[in-house]
Amino acid sequence: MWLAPLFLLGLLGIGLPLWLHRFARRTDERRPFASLMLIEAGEVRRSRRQQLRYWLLLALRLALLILLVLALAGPQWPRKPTAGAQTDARLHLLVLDTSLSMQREGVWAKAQQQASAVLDGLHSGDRVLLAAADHQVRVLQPAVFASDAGPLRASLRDQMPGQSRLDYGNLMGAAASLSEGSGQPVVLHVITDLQASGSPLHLADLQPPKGMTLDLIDVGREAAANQYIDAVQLSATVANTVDVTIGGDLPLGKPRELRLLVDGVERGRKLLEAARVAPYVEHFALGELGEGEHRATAVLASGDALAGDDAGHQLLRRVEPRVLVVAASTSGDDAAYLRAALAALEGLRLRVEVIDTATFKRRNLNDYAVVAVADAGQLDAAQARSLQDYAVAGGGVLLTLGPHTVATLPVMGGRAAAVSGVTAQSQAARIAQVDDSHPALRQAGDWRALRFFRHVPVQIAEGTQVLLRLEGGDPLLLQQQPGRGRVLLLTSALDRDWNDLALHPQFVGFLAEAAAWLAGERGRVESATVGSVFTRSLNAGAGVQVFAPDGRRAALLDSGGDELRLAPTQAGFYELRGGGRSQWLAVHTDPRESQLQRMESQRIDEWQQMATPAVQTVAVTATQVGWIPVWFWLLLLAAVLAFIEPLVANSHLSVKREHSA
Amino acid sequence: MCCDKSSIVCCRLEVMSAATRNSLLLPSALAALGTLELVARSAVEGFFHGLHRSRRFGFSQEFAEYRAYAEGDDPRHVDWNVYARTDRTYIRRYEGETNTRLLVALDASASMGYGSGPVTKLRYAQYLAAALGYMATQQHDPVGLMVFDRQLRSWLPPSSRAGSLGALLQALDAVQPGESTDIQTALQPLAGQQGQRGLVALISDLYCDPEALTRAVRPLAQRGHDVMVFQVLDRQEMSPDWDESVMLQDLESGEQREVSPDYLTKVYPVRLQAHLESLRDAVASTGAQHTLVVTDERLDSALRRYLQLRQRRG
Repeated sequence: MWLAPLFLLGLLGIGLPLWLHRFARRTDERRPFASLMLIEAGEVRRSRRQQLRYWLLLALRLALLILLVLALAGPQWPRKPTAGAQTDARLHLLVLDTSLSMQREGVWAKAQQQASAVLDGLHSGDRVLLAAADHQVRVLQPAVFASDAGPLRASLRDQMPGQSRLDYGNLMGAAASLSEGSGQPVVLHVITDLQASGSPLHLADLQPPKGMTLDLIDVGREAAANQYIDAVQLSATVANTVDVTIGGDLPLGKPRELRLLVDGVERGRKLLEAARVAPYVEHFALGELGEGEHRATAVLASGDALAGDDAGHQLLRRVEPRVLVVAASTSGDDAAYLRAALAALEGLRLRVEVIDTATFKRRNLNDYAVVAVADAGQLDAAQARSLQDYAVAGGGVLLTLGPHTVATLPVMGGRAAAVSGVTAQSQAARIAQVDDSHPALRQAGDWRALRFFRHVPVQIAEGTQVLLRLEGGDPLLLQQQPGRGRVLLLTSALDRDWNDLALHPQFVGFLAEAAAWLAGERGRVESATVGSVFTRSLNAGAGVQVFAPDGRRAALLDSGGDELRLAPTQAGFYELRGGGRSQWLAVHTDPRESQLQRMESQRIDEWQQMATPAVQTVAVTATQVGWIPVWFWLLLLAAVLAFIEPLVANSHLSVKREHSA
Repeated sequence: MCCDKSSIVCCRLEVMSAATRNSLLLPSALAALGTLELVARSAVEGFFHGLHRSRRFGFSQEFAEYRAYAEGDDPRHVDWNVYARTDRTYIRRYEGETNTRLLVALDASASMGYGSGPVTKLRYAQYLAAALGYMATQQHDPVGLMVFDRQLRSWLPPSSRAGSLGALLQALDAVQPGESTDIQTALQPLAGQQGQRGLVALISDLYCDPEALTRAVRPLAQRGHDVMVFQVLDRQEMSPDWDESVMLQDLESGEQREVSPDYLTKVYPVRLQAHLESLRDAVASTGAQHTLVVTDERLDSALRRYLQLRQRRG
């Protein structure tokens, strides 16, 4: 094997000494001479010796050239198995579970002991690779012979469990890539606590790669009571109150203290009851909470099985996005419905302002997170254009159609037909198709209960998605994302003559989700989970530096383009610096790691039975056991030859010089 | 004037520049002349010009004496007036004429075909033989030629008749490298011949046993011949110039040996000098003269040696 095989082209240079020697020697040419009477017969032997020196010189030069070329090409010699190595040597993948649950007392020490025991039991000809697995699988030490496992043991001692989650399905997928190209039988040693929450949804995801032997080394402990901070958030119902959700499945059996810190200052402390069964919520009234973001951390006093999940983090943002409702009349049904529903939202505090179309032109739309227009056909061309510009610039627009329908739909484009309606309520159209994957419809209930007496059939423009469709196929709710903004259009009016939407409970839920989606980041507090991938849109060209909770700069998955991608590895607050300001990101542990139930034994058995190692008796060949760089030795040999060559050359050429002299 | 008016050769040379005449003694220059006759004439005339027209070594047409006609003498030199008066055939002898018979014994073995330059040893030997023959002819000396390798290949008896030079040159021109050398066997017939004593110019690379050379030359000397041994070697034989090991192939035996430059520069010269010394000693032991000539040298030394010997006989 060669590191730089292109250097082998230098072997063509062998032709040079061959050419020189070929032209320099003329021994093969027979020359007539008057008489050999004066030439001894013994001279033939002498000449043979001369020839021998000649060939020796040529061989030396060729060898010197070849050695130099080979040394530059970086040859690697196949490493032979050490003495006593088995011909059925294997590659052992030693994988340590470094997820949060491994922080349980005594678990990690046991895992390290088990790993050492595995290393001790390997044959010297076996190779072993050390990897850590949590939200990702990281190779800590590449494959080395078991007899050379010193660095690997040192690396093992340095490892500590992290705060992220291990998914065994992901681990099985990564194991295949770890063993790729080894050409040897592979044994996968997984040292883990066999946490139930690490098991994937489908058993098939636990299938080890073909031909791999699975060795599950259980270092877990029996399930124990564990409480953790499941959520920290501003109360949706009580102003300036923080709700802390305590998670857990077993009562702790003893009282426990809960503290709330806001911006590093303790703002409350509570003693949790010993017998209380999680989950439950504790409320902390903070008094007046100033504008802007506040870092809130809820901390449980130690005392349960797992300490790593006893803190929860969240950003508290007192934001009240403004919503502008535009209607033909501020006292009409549609305006009243919209104002009432938007003002009643629990999770999103909105400041609603209702205006009529005449006032619309005097408003600066950029002051509002969402603009809702009832009966959008009433807008003139200029108003429609300004609304469209607002949407493209990042605004959220909610449109309904009504009696003032025009041929061209405002903002969204597309064509509108005449109003379609029925007279008898029994003939009302119902919703036939719901795209419940859309955020605006996620919380909605039974849409089929709604009845629509009148609607405006439309022909959608390119880039428009139908979220709700009526029986008969006419679109009822459309969404579009022009530029950076978001637009929803309801092809019916918020009027009792048109439908009974406003009379059903899901109207408020729909409006809440729709308003939240339309408001986008303006009204949302973001958070992330350790090990998950967090993304955020960036202004074009804005550089961002991210600092982890421990103050070190965090590695970004991808900071190119207009998107920030980050996989947090620590719980706490990440600081995002860029564009002249600093933002915070709350990162909390994955609640699934706090659930300490062990995987069912049946599941474990099924998992192990899935491993069907192929019996491989292939002898270890030179190409399978690694490589030893030999360029140094070649270079050394070349140096020796370079020393000898002048000696031979001088001996060979001395006659010439004497003769010339 | 530059020379004696009576000297034919000197008069011919008057029209030639000194540089041209000197250069004509170089083998490479002689090779460009083409025919051996022209080579011989140019070489000899250039040589005499270099002697500064010395009377000692010059030819003269002044009458010296009469002597009895002998077989092989040019009839043109018979003094018919004396014959009319005495009824005996006498030929006129001129000053500088010693009536020395010259026999050129040319080694034409395969080793003589070697040459690292434009002129092989055999070709150089041919030039030398031609020059000697020309010089002798000019002095009305009978000139003969024997060509040999391991045995006698051709024989041209000494003669001073008209056309004998032409025959000599023609015979020389036809010589090609032959087989291996056996001087003793090849010169054996010459030693057994009963005839007038004379000069024998043996031209060879002498790749032979010095003892064999002694055995070949000694009978000639004992019969009263003055023997001149011209050993012709190539420059590459004298000092090989190969930087690398070479596979040498013997031109006579075909044997191959690989030789290192180390040997050629260290051992071979020593062995060569030892061999040359042995040859000189062997030749000297017979009373003959040994002259080493290298194929890239001028013909001076060889011709000078010939004249010295001839002068001594005269």
